[in-house]
Amino acid sequence: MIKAEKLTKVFRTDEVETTALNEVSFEINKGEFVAIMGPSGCGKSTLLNILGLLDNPSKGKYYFLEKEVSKSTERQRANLRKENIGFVFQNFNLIDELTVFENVELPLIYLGMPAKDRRKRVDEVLEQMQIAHRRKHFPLQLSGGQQQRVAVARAVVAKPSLILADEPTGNLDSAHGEEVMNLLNDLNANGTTIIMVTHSQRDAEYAQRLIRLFDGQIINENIKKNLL
Amino acid sequence: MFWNYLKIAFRNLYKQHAYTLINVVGLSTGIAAFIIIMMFVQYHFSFDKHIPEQDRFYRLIQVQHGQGVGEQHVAFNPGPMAPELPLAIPEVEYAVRMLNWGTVLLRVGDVFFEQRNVYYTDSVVFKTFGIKLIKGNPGDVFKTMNSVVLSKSAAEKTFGSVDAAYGQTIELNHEKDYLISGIMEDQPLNAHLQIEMLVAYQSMERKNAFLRSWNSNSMPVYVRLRPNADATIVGEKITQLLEDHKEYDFFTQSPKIYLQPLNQIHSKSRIVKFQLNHAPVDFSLLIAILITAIIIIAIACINFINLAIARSVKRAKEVGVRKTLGASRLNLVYHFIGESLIITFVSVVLALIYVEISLPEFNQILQSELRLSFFTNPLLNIGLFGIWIGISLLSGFYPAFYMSRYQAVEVLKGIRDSGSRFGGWLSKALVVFQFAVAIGLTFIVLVTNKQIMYIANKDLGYNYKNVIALRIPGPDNQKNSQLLKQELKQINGVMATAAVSDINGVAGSQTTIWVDDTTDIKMMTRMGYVDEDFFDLMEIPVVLGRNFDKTFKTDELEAVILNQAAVEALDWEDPIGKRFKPFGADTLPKRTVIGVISDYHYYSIHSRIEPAAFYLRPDGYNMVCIRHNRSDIETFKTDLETKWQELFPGNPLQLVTAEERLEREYRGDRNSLKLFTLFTVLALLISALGLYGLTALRIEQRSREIAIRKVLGGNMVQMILLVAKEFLVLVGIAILIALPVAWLFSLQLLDRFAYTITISLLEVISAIGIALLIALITIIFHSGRIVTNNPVNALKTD
Repeated sequence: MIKAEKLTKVFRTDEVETTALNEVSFEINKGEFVAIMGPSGCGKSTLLNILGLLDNPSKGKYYFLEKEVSKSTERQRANLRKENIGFVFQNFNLIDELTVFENVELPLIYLGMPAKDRRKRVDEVLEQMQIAHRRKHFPLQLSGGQQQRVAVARAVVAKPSLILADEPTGNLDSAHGEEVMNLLNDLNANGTTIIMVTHSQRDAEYAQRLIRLFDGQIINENIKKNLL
Repeated sequence: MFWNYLKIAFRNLYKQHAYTLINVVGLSTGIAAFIIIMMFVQYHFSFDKHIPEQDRFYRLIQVQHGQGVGEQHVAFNPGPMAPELPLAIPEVEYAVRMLNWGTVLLRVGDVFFEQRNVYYTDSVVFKTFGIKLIKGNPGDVFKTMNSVVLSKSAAEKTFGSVDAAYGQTIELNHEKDYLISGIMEDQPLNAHLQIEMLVAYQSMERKNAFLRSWNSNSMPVYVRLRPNADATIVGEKITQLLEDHKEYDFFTQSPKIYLQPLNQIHSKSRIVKFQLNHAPVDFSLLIAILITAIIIIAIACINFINLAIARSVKRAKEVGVRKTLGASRLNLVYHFIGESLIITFVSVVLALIYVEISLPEFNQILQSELRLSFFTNPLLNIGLFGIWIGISLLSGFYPAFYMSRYQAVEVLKGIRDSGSRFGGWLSKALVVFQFAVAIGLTFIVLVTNKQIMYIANKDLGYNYKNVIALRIPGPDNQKNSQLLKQELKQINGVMATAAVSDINGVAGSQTTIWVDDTTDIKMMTRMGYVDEDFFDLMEIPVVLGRNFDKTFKTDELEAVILNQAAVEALDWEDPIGKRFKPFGADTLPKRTVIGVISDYHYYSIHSRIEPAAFYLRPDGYNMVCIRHNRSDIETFKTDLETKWQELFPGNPLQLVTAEERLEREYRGDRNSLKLFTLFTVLALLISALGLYGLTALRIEQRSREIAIRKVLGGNMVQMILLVAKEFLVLVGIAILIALPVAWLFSLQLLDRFAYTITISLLEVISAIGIALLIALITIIFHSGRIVTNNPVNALKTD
């Protein structure tokens, strides 16, 4: 599903040149649950952004669904994104002005789904995430765990084949964190590919494979059983 | 999708209500000003549109050169000219003369009516001016000499109905047996000539020799040319015709005639003397306030754009999330323009409410009859729709494209686009523009105000306080003036009375006088008929020679008094005893200069004092002036009315105070000043509002920086300066741009006056001061929050 070949990302300012990713190569198959770990500044989020088509690499090749996309335009990337990828962020990134229902509905609007179908699908997902009773609330009226459930609901509503999660439990207490991880695990069990960046060893245990990054390079790539 | 946009837009606007309020108040005020001005401009451009064959209709203007007055353009031409034109010049299809005789007195039975807007003319008027008759036939109505055509309203006023009026006979200015031979439809108010009654020209012509003379210019003449005729050539031919009929050389050069197109008569006639235009307006004034309107609305749009950009930092996250979820840039552009459409729509509705409320006041200032009529004015509806869409796009487009440009990754990571800070050059340029306009307008208003005050306080050369004039009733003006003078003196508080051709001393007309010596000098003068009491009453000093004196029997036929301007124009060192010879229509004996009065402003201070000659001529008086010492003006007027009804029962009393008359001369200036002051205050207000919002957002953006500085020991003054500096630099640049432009504009404005102030440093400092004050107050008002805020709050939220 995903193939990275010598992905490199360099950030330049007037005086400093920082290499965030340095010739990173790996493959991820459909249905896998992969965790990416490493210390702060090692390039985890940069990698996730490139994998999520939010950013282009400076060098290297990136095959998404067998298609080379490293030179794609923003418009092409936007189309691929909305049809195939769901995002979950550490700080939830819900739109404060929209209700729970409307936040979850948003990806479907951009996909151009008719209103009736949207309503049905959003209700379905909210039920699934056990947040339907909060559908008319605004994000700031919810607890952190509830907000992240809304965020996961929003990520899966368009039935993406890939979910990218950036520290999904980073802002949650352990009980809520576990709830969210279980949700991701269930999705994976139903065939969704999940790539997750995390600091938490506990969360990483949910993954089948672990990629460790240090200073922009992969230093370790292991299958779960061998690693733990 | 659309409803989603709308819903979110509403919620966003509600949530950010302070921001929305600033935007809506600013925009609606700007739009209201814009609507009123556009209606005013539309009103003035609508003048004379009812006249048929617009492009072939012209007014004849005579360019004269005379000693004492220089070059002048006059809209008056001789009486015999109009009938002659179609006969002598093949290009002229019709020509019509419109002799105005002021307000006339109609008598129906025992009741008197004052009738204004009366013209003595020929039947060709109906074709040329497109006047339709309800009763009577255009070819027949003026068949008999004493015939009258009334407007429908005038007929209803005097007789109750059109049918009752038609065919009746009335008394006109104390002459019996005028037949109402026709009734015409009411003529539109937006016409340069207000026509309410037409009288056969012959009825006036037979009584007044000067109306048959090619040497007396006493009425406007209009022509309709045949298709494809060349107006310039026709003008040359008429000039030649005038030359051919000339009996005397009144002028230093032969007068020239040109044809003034219909669409210029109302608004491009500032230099034309002797015209009867109703509510004339100066084209340059129209353009100036049009520019002001555009500027005001631009300022309001700029607020919109600047606030949106400044606020965009707060909305960056929303943009990032939407993009991550698959929103295209176009989706986001729609989204933001949707918000701008809502704000503008609400503003337009509010603006219409302001307009409706303030229109009566504006109509008074603008001397107009503007109305918000959605059903009869399609242009208004189109205009409003245009304003809505135009402003929405203009103000929404840049912020929309600006914000939709954000990279999702960057905003979600918290990296702020450097352009999104207030540092963007566009925001700065817009703030500079706003302030430049505000400073410029303030400067212009200060200069105008100083000029108006100067005029108001300028010594006009006579004492116009406590002077009232009464119009002498006909038919025997000479007898009645004497009667009035005597009788009015008996009223308590009347100190002096004098008879005069008009309250300001001159009759309004010009004449040429011919010096009786070897020089052959002919000078154009204003002419006035005054009695021996007038100069004393008005406190106009006789500086040389003597005043008129009843004991000198020859004064009435042989004496003349000049003003100083006349003496200067003639370059006479010792004017007393100099003589003039009879000339042109003046068949009187030679006149000898017996005195010189000091110059006084008989007309407005816009024009220089022209040479004037005064005669003692009892049959030429139209008014009796009274100087009084009464403070209870209303009771005094009642006393006058009582006395009047004793003397002339049934006759309406027409009176005017000298102050009112003077006020009329300057009303235009005062109103323009009021208008510009109002718009300047609006512009300042909207700018201040924008700055208020911008400072608030800027402080919010910099709250973290300010908090850190405070933690490190920065004090309140330093923090305020930190924020203020950013804006004060911009205000400084605005000052440098605004002042030279405003200065030049002010000089142009002052050029309209013959006597002017000089612009001083005071106006410069005041304009800068006001702008700086507004900027500082706004900034300090906001900065107060920085001090009271706990720095931890700002640090935590980041």
